[in-house]
Amino acid sequence: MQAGQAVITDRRFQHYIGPRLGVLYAFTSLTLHSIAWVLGLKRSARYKIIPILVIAIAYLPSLVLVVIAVVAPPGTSLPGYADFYPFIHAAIYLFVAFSAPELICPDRRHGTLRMYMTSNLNPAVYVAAKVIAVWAVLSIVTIGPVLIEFAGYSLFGHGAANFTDSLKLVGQIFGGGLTLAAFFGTIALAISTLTDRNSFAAAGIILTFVLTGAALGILQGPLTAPDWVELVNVNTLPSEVVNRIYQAATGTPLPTWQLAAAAAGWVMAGLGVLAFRYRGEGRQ
Amino acid sequence: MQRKFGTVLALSDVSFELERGVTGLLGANGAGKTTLISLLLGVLKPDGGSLQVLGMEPLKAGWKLRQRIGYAPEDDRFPPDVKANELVRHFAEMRGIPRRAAVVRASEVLFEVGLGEERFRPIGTMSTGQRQRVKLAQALVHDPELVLLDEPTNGLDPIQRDDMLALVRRIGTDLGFTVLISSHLLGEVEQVSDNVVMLEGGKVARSGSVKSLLGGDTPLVIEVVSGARQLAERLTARGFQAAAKDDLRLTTQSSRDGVRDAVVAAVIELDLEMRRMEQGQATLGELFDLEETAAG
Repeated sequence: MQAGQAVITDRRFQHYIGPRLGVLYAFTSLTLHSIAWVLGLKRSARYKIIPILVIAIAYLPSLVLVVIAVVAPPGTSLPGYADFYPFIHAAIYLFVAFSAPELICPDRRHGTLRMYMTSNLNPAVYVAAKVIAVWAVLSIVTIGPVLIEFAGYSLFGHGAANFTDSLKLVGQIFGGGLTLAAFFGTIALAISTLTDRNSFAAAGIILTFVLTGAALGILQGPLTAPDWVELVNVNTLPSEVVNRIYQAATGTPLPTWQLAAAAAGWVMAGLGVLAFRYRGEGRQ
Repeated sequence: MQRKFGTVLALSDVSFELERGVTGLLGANGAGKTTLISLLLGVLKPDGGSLQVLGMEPLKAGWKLRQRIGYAPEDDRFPPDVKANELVRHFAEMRGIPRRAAVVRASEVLFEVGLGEERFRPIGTMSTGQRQRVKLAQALVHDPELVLLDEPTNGLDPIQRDDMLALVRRIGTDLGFTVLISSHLLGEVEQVSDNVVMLEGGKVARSGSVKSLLGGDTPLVIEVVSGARQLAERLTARGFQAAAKDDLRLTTQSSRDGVRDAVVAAVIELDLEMRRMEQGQATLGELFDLEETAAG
């Protein structure tokens, strides 16, 4: 090598002279980091097991439906899109009970939350990133399987009649999936703020959705409670909203706007709990 | 500046200026060191007075100030299953460094703090000394103008402590960072700092250059199984300043000729059992006790 060709390859520590980005970038980074964290990306194998298992459980019914669509002769009546959600309800509950606590409990437990408050983040931005992350993660199981069902039906002769109907269906699939993700995700995240322990939070989430649903189900069934009880039934309310999005048959005579307003109210209440729990974080 | 916790006045009438290089924040446990650092970061509100950090008011400036400050907490605050390089990169991004630069800088700074080969290891598998270095790395990765280190030698053995202090010294001198390091040990502050702010009972007892305040006369600490008061009296009788806070530990001036020989002789005469004699382990309180003895 001649003198003129010499290159310093080991620069060691350099002072930084590049751009310094603001709150929006920190928000985006935390959101992406949180999604990867829940899915076990860049973490050891044991953190990938539960998400892979739950995602597999959620996608299995859609794959079965696609296989049925392949072998069924054209014109055969197959389960509709709104009928699909009960197949994956258990998977949605499992996923929300796993992912919501995993998004915020470790930060509180390990004290990382306090470190975040010494960075570009503030409590509102932190909560917003976690809310978007839980919605995005849950969308994997509330939108993805139905999209596969849609693709299978469309490819094998059971799809929508025309392009406009197909577009409408895609809109309904995203609308329904996002409704479920926002509803379950926000409430589960709010419950998770009450403890630092993932297991306690997961138990609380399952109990809230399943036990409330069961208790109110008894009230609405054998005890013939008034129709408005449906509005507080966190187990079935989002499914009723999804049914209305698909314009499918529903189990309640309540008008759509009431169901939608109640679901939005629950989401707002969840956001309220999150705001309350993090109100003074890092600014005491 | 003032700060209360309930009725307890944690900081009162604190006023000082930070200069470039390494400044030691010295005080006993509960003296208000962590409270002061939290106020500088803007994560605590002062109850009175004003505070300027890098020309800004911490609470008003918010993230614009915080991204110019590096902070390493006293306790562990990171998930144990995250790899060191991932964590440092993530916190670089949280402080506004774009992803590609954050990846490069995370590696560079981990090399710089001596974790080049260890940077792909999860933090939970690291020793206390390595975890302290990771904390230091995440405080430096975004190239802050001010680095706040809260007791960075906590939990370290003497060799690790010396290594960490040498590293902090190098960060303040060779790398050109302005560093505020808190400690309850006089010797640590003397070892790394150019200037010192001494906190006692939530107030600044003294501040200035280490040379002017300590003058190279860091007290000698002697620990015995029992009889420290007797030993202090014997040393005082021989013309050395000595002060014992309890019956196990005493301090004496280190700069006087023959002080070590006098200590050993007194220990033998009094038939005491000495555990150790060391310079640099005295606390601020012991320094003040010794000075009171000299004055009184």
